[in-house]
Amino acid sequence: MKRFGSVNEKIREMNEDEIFLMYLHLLIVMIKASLKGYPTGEPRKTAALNTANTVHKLISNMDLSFLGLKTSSHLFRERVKLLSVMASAIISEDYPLGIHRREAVMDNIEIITEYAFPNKNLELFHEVLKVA
Amino acid sequence: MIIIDNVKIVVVDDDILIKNLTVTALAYCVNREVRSFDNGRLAWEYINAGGEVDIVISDVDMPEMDGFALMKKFREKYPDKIFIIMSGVLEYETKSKMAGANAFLAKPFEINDLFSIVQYFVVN
Repeated sequence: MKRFGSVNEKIREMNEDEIFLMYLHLLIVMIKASLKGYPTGEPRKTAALNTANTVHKLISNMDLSFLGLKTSSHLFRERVKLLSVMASAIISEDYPLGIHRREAVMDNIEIITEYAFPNKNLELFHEVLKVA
Repeated sequence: MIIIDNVKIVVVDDDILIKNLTVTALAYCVNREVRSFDNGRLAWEYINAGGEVDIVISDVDMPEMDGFALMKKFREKYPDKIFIIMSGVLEYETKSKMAGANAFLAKPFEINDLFSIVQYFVVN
């Protein structure tokens, strides 16, 4: 039997803070994959737009103290909201994406990652993204 | 290399937040619709009626029919298809192995775990 997920010592039910971080992680992966040109079919587009909406909705009313931020939680919240708007624009492909917008998106991702996932590798699963 | 072409995944969990997140992440991974149900009975009604499925990812503790009961019925109908138990209860890992699950997804899991599941069972 294969095993995935937490190690034995950390097994427990998941809380809303962890679910929010998973959505944020997923959104960052989706944006990076989109910018790198991985294929985007309708199910992927729908999933990405759902994720952007969910992240925006969740962070609007969340207590962010669990993150132990070294910056203002208001600034972090606005950065994440901005990221979800950026994601919707990129994924919907309704707006032009020039070099400056691309840089702004990547800068925002870098700063959010630094605060929310300081020790985590937000890798892109190349085999999954290119084949599926 | 694609192991399962046009894969059909079913997610079963009575926790709507976890279910929706898992469905969204997996639908993005496989670029296909992913079906979901709130308990084992509803999932079994779909599967037993001939609903398409290659992989089931199910929580254990749910009303009406739990994940192990669903796996038993699923195994009888589809002995070669994939059934993954997800749970936040440590004791269920051994029980999953004994009952013939293909994998155990321990909560709290991460996005990378869902990608890893797709990488292992769907593409390689």
